[in-house]
Amino acid sequence: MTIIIKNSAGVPIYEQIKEQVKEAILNDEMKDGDMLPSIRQLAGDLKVSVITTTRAYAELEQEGYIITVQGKGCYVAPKDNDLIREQLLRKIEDGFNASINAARIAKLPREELRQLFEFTLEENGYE
Amino acid sequence: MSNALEVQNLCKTYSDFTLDSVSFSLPAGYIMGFVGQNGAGKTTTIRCILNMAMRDDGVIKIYGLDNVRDELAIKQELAVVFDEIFFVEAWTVKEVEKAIRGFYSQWDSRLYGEYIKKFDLSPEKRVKELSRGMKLKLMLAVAMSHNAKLLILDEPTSGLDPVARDELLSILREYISDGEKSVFFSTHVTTDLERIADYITLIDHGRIFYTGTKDGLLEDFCIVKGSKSNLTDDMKRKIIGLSITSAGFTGMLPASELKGLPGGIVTESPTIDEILIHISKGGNNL
Amino acid sequence: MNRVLTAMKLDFFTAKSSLKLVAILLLIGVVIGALAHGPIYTMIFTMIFAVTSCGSIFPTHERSHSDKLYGILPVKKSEMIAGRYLYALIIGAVCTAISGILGLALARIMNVSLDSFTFWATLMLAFIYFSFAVGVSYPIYLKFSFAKAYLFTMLPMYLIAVLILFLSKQTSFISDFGRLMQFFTNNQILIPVLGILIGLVLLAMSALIANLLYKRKEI
Repeated sequence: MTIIIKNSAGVPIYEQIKEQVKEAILNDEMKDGDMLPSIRQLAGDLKVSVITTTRAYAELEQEGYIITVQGKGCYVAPKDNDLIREQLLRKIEDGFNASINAARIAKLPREELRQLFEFTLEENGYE
Repeated sequence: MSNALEVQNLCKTYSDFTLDSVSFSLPAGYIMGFVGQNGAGKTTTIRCILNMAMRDDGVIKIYGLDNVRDELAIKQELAVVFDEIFFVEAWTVKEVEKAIRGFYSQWDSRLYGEYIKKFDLSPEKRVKELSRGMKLKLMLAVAMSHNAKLLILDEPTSGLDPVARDELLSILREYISDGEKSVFFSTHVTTDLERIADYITLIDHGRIFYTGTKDGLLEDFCIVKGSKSNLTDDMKRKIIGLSITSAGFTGMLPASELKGLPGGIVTESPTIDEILIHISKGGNNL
Repeated sequence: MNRVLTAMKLDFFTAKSSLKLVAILLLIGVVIGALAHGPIYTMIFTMIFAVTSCGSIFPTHERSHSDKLYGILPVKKSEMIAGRYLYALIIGAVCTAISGILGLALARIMNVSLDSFTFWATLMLAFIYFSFAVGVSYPIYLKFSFAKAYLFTMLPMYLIAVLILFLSKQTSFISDFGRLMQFFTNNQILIPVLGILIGLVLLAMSALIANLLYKRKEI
């Protein structure tokens, strides 16, 4: 997992960490049960305060993305859990909205759009 | 979780300077930066913690032990680095170990040897022949070779170039990586703190201005800028370090005061430097 | 006790570098004694060397700012002082022995007569002078900085040493103590016994005073 901190961005560092971890999870870059670097390890690697990474991980856990196992570490939460599911559904919806807007501009008939969708499903091998 | 260092209402009066009710705590396993102008009281506070200066009032505890009553037990687990080296000039790097190892029940000779090698310090070189950066590394090697739980550094980066400062920060980061050791680090080089500190205590003219997490400090204050016409009397009272020029005004406000501000005021996050500068300029509410 | 010994070892480490320089004094003492055909001069000079060795720790610490060590290391102030005095005692004992050996050796080599009374009296007076000099200077150095205190302590000590040298040349001065001399000549064993006792008492008193003075000092 790559995390890049921009020091000059107006966004607090813990937020940046949170967002990038979230992205990695939602992109499937990090899979169910993958172990994240420890709070101290991450702080050392990114050269930020341990408190910052602690906060990022705490909020990620609260939002359902990761699970902390005492004495073992932090792991990516199963992605079919409710909170992640909601995020993913939102992502799907956003994708649909983008496609629909593009179709509108192209003046694509509704039926053709639906066919295009089925075709893409086939191409992706979606079960 | 226990506190590595606890200072409560520390008071110390000299003829020309006073520490007034200085209080702060460092939880075990973290790094605290102790920052303030030159002469603000950083070194005096550290000397009181080490009982090198005798305090007039207050309580100082290290891992729960009183710093006067249990001084000897504490100093076994305490390591100190000053801006100036405190070993006899004529000693060689090897002799430094021989001279002081007898005092520490947990001295680890193998570890000392490893650090000496890692820091590229020749065992036969005399203390007076070492460069500023190497003297610091020698003090660190000694500090980290007797299993100390709290490392106190007083202005360790003064006189170091940026490369050497970065090296020091890496060493400190590695030192606390097991979560059991703590670091208390006084400096006026705030960029170092921005990169490594978990907690910050800010001291100004012998009084504590802020103590808490570094993130908290940067969130609690805000730089405000705007045109003179937007400056109300209420704002003039509350703004810290207010500066008015022909181009407008700048200053610093606690984040809680941002709510009632008129539009057109630009706000931005402060750096620790800016916070220091603004509080030194003073303000009515300080 | 362990910490006191470690503090004493630290003092030896501190003094090591300057001991070599001060050894030149020893050489001078031998030369003077040889030139003046007076082994007692060498014996006295040896003890001056001893006093200087004992004092040298203080300017070394001041130059290196290494007195801060005593605020950092796990050692009590009283233990540091005890270690320092032990160091002085060892230097004094060793130098007294060297003084005696050199005196006897020089006397034999130069074929100068050195009767037993003169030998013991000189040796013990030198040791008492050493104890007195250290006893006076140590508490002052501990309380004040060496640089400030040096003129007021070492200089008088050297002057006293010169005075003793001068006086010892005046044989009439010695014979004025007629009855005292008679007593000691008859009971020569008492000279070293009394000499060592007086020296130790002086050092012990000095250590107590040093402790009191240093207690409140900030490092």
